[in-house]
Amino acid sequence: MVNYKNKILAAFQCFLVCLLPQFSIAEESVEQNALDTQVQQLRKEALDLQRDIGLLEKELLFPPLTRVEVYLSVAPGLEYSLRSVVLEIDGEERSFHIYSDTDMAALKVGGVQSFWEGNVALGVHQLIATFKGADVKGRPLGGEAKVEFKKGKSGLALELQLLAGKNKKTPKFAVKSWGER
Amino acid sequence: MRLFGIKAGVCALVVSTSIVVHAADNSATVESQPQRDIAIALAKFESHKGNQDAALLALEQASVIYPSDDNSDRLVFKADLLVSAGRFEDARGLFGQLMGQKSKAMKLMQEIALPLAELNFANGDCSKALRLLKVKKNKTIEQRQQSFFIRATCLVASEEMNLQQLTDLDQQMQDFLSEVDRSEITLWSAYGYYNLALSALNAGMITEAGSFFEKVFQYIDSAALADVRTVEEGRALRERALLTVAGAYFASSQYGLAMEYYALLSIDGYWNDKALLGYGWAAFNNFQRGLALESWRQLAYLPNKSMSVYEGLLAIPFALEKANAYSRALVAYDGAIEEFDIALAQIESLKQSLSVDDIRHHALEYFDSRGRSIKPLHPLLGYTYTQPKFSASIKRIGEVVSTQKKLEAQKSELGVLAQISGWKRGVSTVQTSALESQVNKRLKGFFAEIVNLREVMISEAVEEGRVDKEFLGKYNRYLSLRRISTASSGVGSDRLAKLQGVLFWQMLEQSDYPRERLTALNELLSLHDRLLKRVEGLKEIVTVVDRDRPEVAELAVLQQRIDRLNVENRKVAAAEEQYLLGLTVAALDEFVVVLDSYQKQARVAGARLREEFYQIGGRRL
Repeated sequence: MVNYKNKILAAFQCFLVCLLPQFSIAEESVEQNALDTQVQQLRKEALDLQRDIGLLEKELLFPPLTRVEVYLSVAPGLEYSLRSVVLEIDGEERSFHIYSDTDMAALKVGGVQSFWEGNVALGVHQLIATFKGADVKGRPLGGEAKVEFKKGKSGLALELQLLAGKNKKTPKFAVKSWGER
Repeated sequence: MRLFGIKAGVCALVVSTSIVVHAADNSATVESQPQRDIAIALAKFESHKGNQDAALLALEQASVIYPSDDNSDRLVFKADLLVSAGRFEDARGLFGQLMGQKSKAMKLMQEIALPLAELNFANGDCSKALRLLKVKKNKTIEQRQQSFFIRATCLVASEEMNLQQLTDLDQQMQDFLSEVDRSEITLWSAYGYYNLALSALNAGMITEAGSFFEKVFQYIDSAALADVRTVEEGRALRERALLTVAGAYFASSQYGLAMEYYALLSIDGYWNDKALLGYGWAAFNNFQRGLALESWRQLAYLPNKSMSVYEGLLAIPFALEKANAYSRALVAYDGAIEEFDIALAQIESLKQSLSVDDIRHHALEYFDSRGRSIKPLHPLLGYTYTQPKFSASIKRIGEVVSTQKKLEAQKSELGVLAQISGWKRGVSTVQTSALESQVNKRLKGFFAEIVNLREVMISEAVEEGRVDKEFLGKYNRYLSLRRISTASSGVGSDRLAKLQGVLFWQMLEQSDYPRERLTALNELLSLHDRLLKRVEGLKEIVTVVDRDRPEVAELAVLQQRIDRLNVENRKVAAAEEQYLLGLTVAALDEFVVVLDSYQKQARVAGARLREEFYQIGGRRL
């Protein structure tokens, strides 16, 4: 009886060790390290490939002659919640975006959003960006930014900016050109 | 909370690092050009939303589109992204490149110290990790808590840990957290104190362990209030901590308290089997055999039979025997033997039928589950597959398969791009040719009109006698050449037009031609020149556009890269699946050994019980 009890308790002690969370630095074999390296290498090459295909796609679908890129940024510390932005070029709606809290948080830490990329003919055009949002107290607050731009032979990049005024509570809406490239 | 008297063989918690995003360094000014790197800014937008893969891709693409003379900031950001995504080997290579840039060593060191510390920590090199933590200055609040977790975990692993180190680390953390707003407390603090508690238990410092566990529960609650996304993770950590506390109470023979803590665990939680088994033993040792039996009966009826359940099958007849319920004990022993038979047969059958395809399918289910529970290949493998060796292999299989899927998507994308390229080129060539031919025709026609006008003006001058005999002779020779050219369908018409032009200007020199007619002609000529220049300009643009378009060869090169990667991918996938199959079969063999031993114990105990009962005058059972 006693022996059996000891065995049961010994089995339980084994359980106790197994029960408690184990900390083990994985002792992988040399073979596993090599596989690990290979997998990482494959992932890197796949990423490089994805990058190159993306660039090729960009060149094909949006050649520099007609390419216009629009980006969006928010000044850090701006106390404004952007809800949506609508982009029009020559009176035609080209894109819109609705912003979640995550999107806003990403913009406020210095992130820049790739808002729209498309084709525009050579010549002079008008861009209007309509912003809608809310101030710190939740009251609707919006605005517009307009710019007339000339599309030349090279690709053009524009940035929709939500700038902070002195009190950082009221945004200023602007469009900045990065020039042609 | 009173605690334990006996040192328990405890081990620390291994936690994979979660994603940490550093605070922005750049700020935009209202008037001047923002001081930022656009590639980093585009990547930051994605990484802050938790899309690490998208962030890496954005960084790579933008680095090509917006090249920079100094890439070090981008490399630092990329290294941070790779560490956050758990791609430590890639990050290691990048750190090597960064450290080679000696002129920027000090600045870079500050940027990369924390991700490099995480990398070394993940690889088990605590001494390097701790040195790097000291290098990093001005840590954010979250980074301070993460550093605390790394230091606490390294302390668990250290052989030279002492009370002073524990209390010093605790005091530093308390001083820091007392000044921090509750909303900024993260699960890092809870994990850190969990490992401190385990260090204390390991060293027999019971009172300290108790106070550390209290802090674990406190910080789990704070983190849940601060960020609702941590609620599930916090719950899992709480259950783990409760199980550890209960186990430690049991080891120190404080069975009543052990029962209290086992009872706090969720009945449908991850550790419910261990909780029921532990509760049963605590109750049994606390002379509450009825509660013990009840707990083990619940254990026996759990849907997933883990090793705890099989242990419970042995414990039930043991408890019945102690309660002098011999016939019921024997029935229970016989029942346990049958269950062990079934389990052993199931394992044998699984071993025979298990294939690489099954392993791949199962590994992908685990990989895609993202922590949700899935049905294991065998109930006993449920916990096994969470062990580091298995989870690392599953992760690699998952990565290889997801790379495979990406390559397939890229291949079809490439096919579409090839079609677009071919279509655009086809359309462009046709359109350009048609346009060119139209314009050339009209220009020729226009020039022909000019030539006709000049012709008329010359013949007028000849008729009006304003030219001399020599000119007349040249003009007549021109006319006969023109007749011949017309007869042979305009051959040599360009040369004739040049001759005519020369004659025209000679005529103007000789005669006093009315100025108003010349004006009209000059305007026409000038217009023709302008049109010609415009046409040449357009041709140049079209040529440039055609030249700058990606060639078919580039598409073919990309196709070859995809094909090569596919081959490599399949090789690695096959090797990894074979490895995981081997690990699984080895684990099943271990289960067979344990179950076999339990079955033998049950047989021996059953036989002994029958004999003893008979010896004391009972009938043979």
